[in-house]
Amino acid sequence: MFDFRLNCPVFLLMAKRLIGLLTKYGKVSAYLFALACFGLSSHSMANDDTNTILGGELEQLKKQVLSLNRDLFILEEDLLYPASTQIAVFVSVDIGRFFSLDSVELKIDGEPVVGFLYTDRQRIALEQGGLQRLYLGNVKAGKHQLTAIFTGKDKQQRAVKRAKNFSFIKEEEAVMIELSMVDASANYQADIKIEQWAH
Amino acid sequence: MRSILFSCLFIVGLMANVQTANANEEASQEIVVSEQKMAQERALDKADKAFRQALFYYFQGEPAQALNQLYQNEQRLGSAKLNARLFEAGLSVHLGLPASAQAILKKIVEQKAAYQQSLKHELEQNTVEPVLAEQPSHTNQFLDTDEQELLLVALLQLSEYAVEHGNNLTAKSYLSQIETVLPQYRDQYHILKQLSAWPKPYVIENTLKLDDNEDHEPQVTLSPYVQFNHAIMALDRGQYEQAYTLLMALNDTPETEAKPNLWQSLFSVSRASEKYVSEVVQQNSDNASDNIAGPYHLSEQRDFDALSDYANLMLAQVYVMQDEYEKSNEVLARFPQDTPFSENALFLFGFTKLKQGDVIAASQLWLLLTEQYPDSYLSWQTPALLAQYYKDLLQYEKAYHQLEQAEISHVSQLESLRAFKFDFSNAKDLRNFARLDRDANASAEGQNDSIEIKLNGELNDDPEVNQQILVLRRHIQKIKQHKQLKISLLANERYQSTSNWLNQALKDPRLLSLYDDLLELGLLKQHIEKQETSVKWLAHNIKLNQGRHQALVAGLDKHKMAQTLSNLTTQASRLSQTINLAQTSDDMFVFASEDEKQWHLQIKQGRDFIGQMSAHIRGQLPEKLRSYQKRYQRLHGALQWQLKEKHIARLWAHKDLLADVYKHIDNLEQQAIRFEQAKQRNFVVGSLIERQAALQNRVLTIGNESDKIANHTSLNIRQKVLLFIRNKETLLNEHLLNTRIGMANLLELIQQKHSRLNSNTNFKNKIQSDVEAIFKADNDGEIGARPVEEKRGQL
Repeated sequence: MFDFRLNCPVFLLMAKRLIGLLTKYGKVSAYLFALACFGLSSHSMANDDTNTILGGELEQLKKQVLSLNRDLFILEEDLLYPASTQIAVFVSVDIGRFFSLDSVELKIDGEPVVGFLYTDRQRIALEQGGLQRLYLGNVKAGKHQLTAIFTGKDKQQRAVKRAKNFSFIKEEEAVMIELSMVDASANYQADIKIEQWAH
Repeated sequence: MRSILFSCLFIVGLMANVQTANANEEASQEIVVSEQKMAQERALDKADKAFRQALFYYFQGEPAQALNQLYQNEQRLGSAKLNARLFEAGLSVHLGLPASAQAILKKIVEQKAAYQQSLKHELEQNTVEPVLAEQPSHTNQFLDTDEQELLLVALLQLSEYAVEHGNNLTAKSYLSQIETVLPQYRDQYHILKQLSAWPKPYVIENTLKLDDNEDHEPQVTLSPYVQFNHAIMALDRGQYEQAYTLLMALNDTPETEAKPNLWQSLFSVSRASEKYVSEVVQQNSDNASDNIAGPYHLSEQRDFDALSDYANLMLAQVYVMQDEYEKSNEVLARFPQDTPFSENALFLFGFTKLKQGDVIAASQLWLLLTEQYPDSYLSWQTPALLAQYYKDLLQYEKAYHQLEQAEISHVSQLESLRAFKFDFSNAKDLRNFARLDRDANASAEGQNDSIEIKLNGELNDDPEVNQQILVLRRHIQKIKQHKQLKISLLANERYQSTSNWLNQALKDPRLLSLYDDLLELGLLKQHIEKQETSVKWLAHNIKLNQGRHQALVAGLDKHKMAQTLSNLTTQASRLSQTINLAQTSDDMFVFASEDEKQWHLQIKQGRDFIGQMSAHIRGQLPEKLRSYQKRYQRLHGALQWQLKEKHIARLWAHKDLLADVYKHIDNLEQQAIRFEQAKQRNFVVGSLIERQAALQNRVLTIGNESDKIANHTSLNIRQKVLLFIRNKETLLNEHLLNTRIGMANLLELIQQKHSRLNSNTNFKNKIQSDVEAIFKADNDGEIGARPVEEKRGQL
């Protein structure tokens, strides 16, 4: 009289949806099993095709948006910072055991150009090997002086400030300078290393 | 003899020359090679630094920005290193670009053979040097992984994609290309081998090649997932004993320790929110030395508990199917409350209790199920089960009552479903229809609002000043909007609804995926609008630059810079000649001041006048004239002495000034050259204009494309939801019909029961009247009368 089904596949279908916390491997297996038992193949496959087509179109759109984003960035850089006047300053941290970076301030020819306060996430990203482009700007051709001021804490959580000057000559090509906070095991401190990249 | 000696010397000299020439040639070749090597090293170094810029974004939990950076690197620097390409594949997986990821991985694998060949050749030539001469100081797996491991990751991921799309043969072919499996990838390898062999059973290969560093036998313990899948396979085949054994063994499986692996974390999550990605990244960064949640290892207690709970649920199901309700009870009694499988466990537990005859416990459990999961399909079945139970016990009224409750519930559900159907069909914006709004953008917008408030403060009274302020504000606003070109490709969280029906429909992963697509399309649309603003801003900028350029050209033409410079140079030369002359000659009056010149003139005039006078006087000059002469002479001498004193200083001062003048002229010449170059640079601006125009067209095209896909997606969502509603309606109507049929049958049974009771009552009454009639006849003297009590006793 009453037709209610209490099938294993029904269970597994239900459970499959909730198993999203796990990785896909148990889930995939359960789903395959449920499909085999419950015979949901044909209709779901047709829907899968539609989803796949849409998914493909969406992916194409994302790629186009990304590629447009890239081209816009590059055009902006070429327009606003041509190589003949461009200067780019990068920051990196070599391990970071002896110095925990809080902020960096940059001056060019005595004029402050950028100050950056680091969040924990950004600091960790640098310690993991990331390289940050701190500043992108324009300078005239000729001789200039860069001053970098690093503020942070040492291993004993004492406030520390390190500064360094660097002279460079701006010519036709873009100037790229890397400021690196390098751990010095000899004295358990960190030093600033400034290096201009060759072309 | 001499000639022989000379010829020997000649030959020796020739050989020496040849050797020198060879040495020179070798030296020049070496220089070329070393220059090439240096150039190659510089290129690799640049590529490495560019890759690290992408890592900076990734470790902050901004994978879209990281991918953006990688695309820029590729555009600027050309082809990337192997680890950067694999990283790009992983990010593509993160951001819902699986086809791109697959294409990259395929390329890596295809080039594997070519790479290995070139590496072998270089080793033979002994020209291979490490890319970074020093030991890298970062403990970053993305930077430090060797090519062998990278290729292994690529092959595993390709086989995973194939498995996900049901291409088991393709998966097998990729897996067969793996020669060595490192320990941290062993579980993944086994799982993929198993799934690629599905539905055939998977036998672990005893001849599996392992990492060369291992010097002991490989462990044969399988990943819990592999065991779990074996159990599912056994259940599928009805091999309950085997399934039971495997599931019991799963409970005893110890927790495995997962080693940290950033590559596995990178590829593990697909279509996850950036928030989740950032949490994973943060976790990986903070707990670098601790166990990290890897996708193939049960390293988190949460993962282990979930798998264990699911296995126990399946075990209970096995017991039920074998009618071993006691054992099922034991398993379910231990089942935790706080688990995703509570719904199923509650239902099964109630069912087991019902089968054991404990209807009160079953009712209580199912009441709990209905309270906690009112929309559950399982909870709809419970009244029917209880009704059947009571029916079997011939307790028709109770059975009827259960079905009555079920009918009320079904009718109410149908009404609610129809209301939902009406609202959904009339909803214009599916993205925001009954959406649980926890959009994190609200906080960002709030922040922007505060900036807006600051920008939109009170204006000045002076209209001209106001105009300038407004222009400045608009400009700042444009810059602000332009700077917000930070890309975000994933929604902060998955779609959730306030509507119960929609949440039920969303349990279909395909529909949920479509809603995720819709949210992502919304984000993309916002970003496209920002890009449109950015493109217009660039056009505005280019226009400004063009205007500046035209003004520059007009200014240059107006001022006739070349001629002016020429004039200045001529004047400077003349001044130089004058100064040189002054230096070589004794003329002190070159640098004389105006006063001194005036004095000199006066003295000269005086002396000339006296000279003229003395020419007319014969004999001795008068005393006065002689004194005047002497005085003029003294004055002249004094003036000369004064000039002589100051001459050197003035000479040097003038020379300094001339040097300054020359310096300024040099600067002007340099400036003139720059202006000339700037004037000629118009062709660069031209190319920028072309690029900007092309980007503008692309933005429009992409915008239209995005609208089209959004419409298509919305249409698909509508179709799926309406199908869901139709199915639910059918199901509910079927349930309602069955319930009503059941109720009708029960009513019939109840009526039959009552009519039997009624007919029993009538029979009793008939006998009673018969007895009374007999009794009455007895009292009237009829023969054979018996005492009433005896006769009543016989009744």
